[in-house]
Amino acid sequence: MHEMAIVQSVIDIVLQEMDRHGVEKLKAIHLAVGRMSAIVPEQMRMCFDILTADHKLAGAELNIRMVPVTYRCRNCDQEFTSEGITFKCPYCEGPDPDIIFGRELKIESIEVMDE
Amino acid sequence: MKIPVVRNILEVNDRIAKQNREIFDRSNLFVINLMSSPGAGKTSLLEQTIERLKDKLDIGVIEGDIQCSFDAERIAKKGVAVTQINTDGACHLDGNMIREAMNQFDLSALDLLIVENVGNLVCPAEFKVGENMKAMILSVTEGDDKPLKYPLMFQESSALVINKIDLLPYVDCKVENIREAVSQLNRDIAVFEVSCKTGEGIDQWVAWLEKQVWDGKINAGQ
Repeated sequence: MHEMAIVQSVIDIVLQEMDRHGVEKLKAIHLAVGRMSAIVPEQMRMCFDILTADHKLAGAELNIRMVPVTYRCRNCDQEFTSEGITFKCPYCEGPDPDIIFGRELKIESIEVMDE
Repeated sequence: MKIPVVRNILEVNDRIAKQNREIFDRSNLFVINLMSSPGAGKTSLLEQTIERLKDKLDIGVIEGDIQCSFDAERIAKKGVAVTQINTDGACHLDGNMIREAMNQFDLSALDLLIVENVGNLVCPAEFKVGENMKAMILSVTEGDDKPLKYPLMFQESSALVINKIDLLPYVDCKVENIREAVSQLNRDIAVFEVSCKTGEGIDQWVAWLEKQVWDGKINAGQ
């Protein structure tokens, strides 16, 4: 259950950014989370609701975009995505491709409540 | 209206871990972050490792547990410097916890600092603490399907110690299956088969670890 620690970090960063841009109320926070990271989105949303009750972020939506695992073949340089773990390039059957995306834990944007 | 942010959620921890690492480097100290499930044998491996290395290296240990100090007491009996972190519920150690605990040691008097993380096969892999390398233990009683179920920790670790091999006749776990899956997840990982109960294989692990420490010191000194 490290989602609580991660959500607290999200809140800290988002509050800094709101301050920086002079924003009072948010409609949504948009995150990118790689499928290879050890994160359960439902738990993140639950932690977010708990940590933001009675808070200026209360009611903001935590929008989590799951980033598929993207590989690059070390043999033929082709890139491909996979829902799970794969060890073989689908183009040349080369072994042991490199993971190039899928480990993200990023805040991509904050969405301001329309006036 | 969307305002782009693009910041790493763990940036604060990453920054603290980097600062920890700089402090460790100034003391020419090699740091390992040791991770595994609860009960895989982290403390037992440390006991065996310390026994074999304490005449060659000055060792310190940071014990991370949700509660209690049983492990720190076991390590203290081996005659090395040890401090206990109780996370009070948190499932992993982070850079900040290590920052506080490291002040308990005279870092310049140590060669090797081992951080025994909270028993958990998932969360500790996401949080750097300032280590030179991560190492992990998988015990054969946990099953050979674990690398593919919990890939992140296997990908992040420089060494995998497969423990409790004395129990292989009694469990449905094949070391070849672990090795095959792990080599596909992480082509550079060093794998050791040991029994902390019988002592089998421990010497190979310890020799490898000692080499990492000395190589790390040479690199840091350059």
